[in-house]
Amino acid sequence: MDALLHIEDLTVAFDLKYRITDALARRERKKLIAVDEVDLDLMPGDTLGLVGESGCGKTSLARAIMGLYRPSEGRIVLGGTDRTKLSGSEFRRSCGDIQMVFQDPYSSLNPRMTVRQMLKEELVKHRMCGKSEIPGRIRDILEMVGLSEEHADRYPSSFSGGQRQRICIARALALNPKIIVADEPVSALDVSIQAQILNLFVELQKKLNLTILFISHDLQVVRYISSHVAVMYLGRIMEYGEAEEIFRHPRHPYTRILLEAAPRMDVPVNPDEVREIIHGELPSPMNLPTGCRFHPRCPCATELCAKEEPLFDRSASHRCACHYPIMEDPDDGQR
Amino acid sequence: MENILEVRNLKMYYCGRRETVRAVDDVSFSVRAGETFGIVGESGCGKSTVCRTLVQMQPAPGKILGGQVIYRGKDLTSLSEKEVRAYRGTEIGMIFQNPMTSLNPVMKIRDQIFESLKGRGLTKKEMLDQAVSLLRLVDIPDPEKRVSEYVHQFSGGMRQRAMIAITLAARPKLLIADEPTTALDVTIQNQIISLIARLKKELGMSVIVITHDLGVVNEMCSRVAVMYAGRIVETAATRELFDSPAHPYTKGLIASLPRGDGSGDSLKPIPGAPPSLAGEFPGCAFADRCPHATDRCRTERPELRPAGPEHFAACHLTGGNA
Repeated sequence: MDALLHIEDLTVAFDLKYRITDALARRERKKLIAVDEVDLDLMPGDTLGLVGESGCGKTSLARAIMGLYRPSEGRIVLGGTDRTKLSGSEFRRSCGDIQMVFQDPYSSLNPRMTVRQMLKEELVKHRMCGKSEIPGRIRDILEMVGLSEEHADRYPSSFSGGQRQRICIARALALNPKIIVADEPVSALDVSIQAQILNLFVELQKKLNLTILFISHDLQVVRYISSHVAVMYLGRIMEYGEAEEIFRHPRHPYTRILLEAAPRMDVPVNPDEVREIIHGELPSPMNLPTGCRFHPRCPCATELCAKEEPLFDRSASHRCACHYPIMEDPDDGQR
Repeated sequence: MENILEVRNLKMYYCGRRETVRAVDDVSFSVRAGETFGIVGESGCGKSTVCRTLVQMQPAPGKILGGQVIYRGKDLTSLSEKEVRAYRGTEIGMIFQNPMTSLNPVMKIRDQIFESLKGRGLTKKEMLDQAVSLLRLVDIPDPEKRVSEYVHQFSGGMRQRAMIAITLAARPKLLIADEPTTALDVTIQNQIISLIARLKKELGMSVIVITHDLGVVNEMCSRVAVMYAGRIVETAATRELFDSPAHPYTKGLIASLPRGDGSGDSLKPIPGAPPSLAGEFPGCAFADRCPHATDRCRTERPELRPAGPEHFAACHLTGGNA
C-alpha cells in the first residue's frame, strides 16, 4: 500500500538569537535543530502515535507537516505533491487536506465567535458547499462529533472542556480533511472526559476512514488509539513499528525506559520501594551529545555509542536506531 | 499505627453574596504516621481545597463551617490565624504543581531556603551549609554552585526538586504534595516519585499526595480517598481500590482509562460532566451520571459505609443491600 503522507529527511531548524556582541566576537550563528532528518510514512486509515518527552520535537514536526513552520530541508509529500514547494495560493487551496486539533481547547477557539460562525467561516472560505447547503452541513458536522444543532449558536465559554474539544474536532472535520494532526488532544482533559474524546476519535476514524497523526506523551493513550507508533528523542525518531509490537517488545532502551517509568495502575507496586529507572534529564537541543543522542542517559551505552550515531534501517517494519537493540524481552507478556 | 492527622466532618464553603459553593462538604479521613495517603479526583472536585483548608489557607470567601482537623492531638480549626502559622510550613509542608509560580523568580534558591531556616539561630555559614546539603539530599547535581542560582536557570524537574528542598528545610512531619508530577515528563515524573519515596523513608515523614492520575496513586500511596464534588466517595487501601472498587464513580474512572494490556477494548467513559458545586444536592452528587441511580440516590445522601476490610464507600448500593 502506498503511503498517504510521505515525510522524507524532514529537518526543522530555528535560528538562535545573534547579538551584535556575537558578531563582533565572530562567533558562528547557532541553530536549534528541533526535528532532525525525520522519515515517516502515514498509511491511509492508519493512526500513527508519536510519543516523546517535552522538547523532543513532536509539536515542531506536527507544525511543519501543517505548514506552520517552514522546514529547512526535506519533503512532505501528500498525494504526489510536495507541500514544502507549494506557492502561497496553492498551499491555501490544499490546506484543507490536513487539519489540526490542538492541545488546549480553551485557547484554540475564538471566544467571540459562535460555533456556527466558526464553521460557516471555514465552509465559505474554502468553498466547501453552496450557501443553501451550509446549515445542513453544519448540522451534520456537529452530529458527527456528538453535539446537536442547539449548540451551534452558543459561544465557547458556555461549553465544558470536553465539549470544546468536540468543537475543535468539528472544525477540523469541516473541510473533509484526509489527515488529522492531533497534538495532545486529550492532555488537558479529565480522565472521564478523556475517554469520551478518545472514543470519538476511534469512531470517526472508522466512519470517515481518516488518517490520524496522534501526538501524546501518555503511552497508554497512544497504545489504545494507534496502529503504529514512533518514539522521538531530541528531534530524531528512535523507534518505529506496529503499536503492539513496540509495547510488547520494545527494542530501543529509551522506549523501554519510557514504558517502565510511566506510572500505571494495573500492576501492583510497593509504594515504599524506591524505583528510580532513569537518571539525568533531557540534554539541551542546542548542544547535542555526540554519537547516539541518548547515550548519556542510556543504561547500556558503550564507547561506540558515544562516537557513532546508530543508523536506522528505513525498510524494516520495526525500526530502531540503536547499536545494541534489545532483542529479547525477558518479562514478555507482563506488559 | 497511630494517626498523625485526622480530619472529621470538615466543611468549607465559599460563601459568596449570591451563592454558596460547597467546596469541601463533610469530608473525613485520616493519615497514619509514616504512610503516603492519596487523594484522587478530577479537576474541581475539591481535592486541593481540602488540603489548603487543613492549615486554614483557603482563599477569600471560604469559611470553615464545621468539623475538626486533628493534627497530633491538636484541633487546627480551633486555632487563631497566628497560632496556625506555627504549623504551616514547619509542621505541615506543602509542594505545589507548578514550581515556576510557587518559587520566587527574583530570589536565589539559597535565599529562599534561608527563609525557612530563619529563627533557628544559625550563622550565615551554617545556613549555607544546610542549603547545600538540602540540595544534595534532593539530588541536584553540583549543589555548591546551584545554590546561588535563580529558578529560571533550573530545568522543570530541578525546579520541583528545589521546591522540595525548600519545603524540607523546615523539617515538616507531614508533607502535602499537590499534583507534584503533573507538569513533568514521565522520566522526570518517575525520578520525583522515587525521590519523595526515599525522603519519606529517610526523614520519617507522612505524605499526602493529591493527584488526578490513578497511576501515580498506585506508585506512591498505600491508602487512597476518591473525591467527587467536594465529598469523599470511597476510601480504601490502594490495591483494594483498584481490584474491587465499590463506588460507581471509582468504577467509572477505572473503566475510562486505557488498560496497559493492549486489549483494544473500547473505553467506557462516564457520561456527562461533574456538577457545579454551587448547587444543592440532597442526594448523591454522582446520581445524575450513575448508571445504577435510584430515587433514593436523588433524595437521600449516602454515608460512607463499609464495603470490605478498611474499605468504605458512600453509595446506597454497596454493603448489605447491593
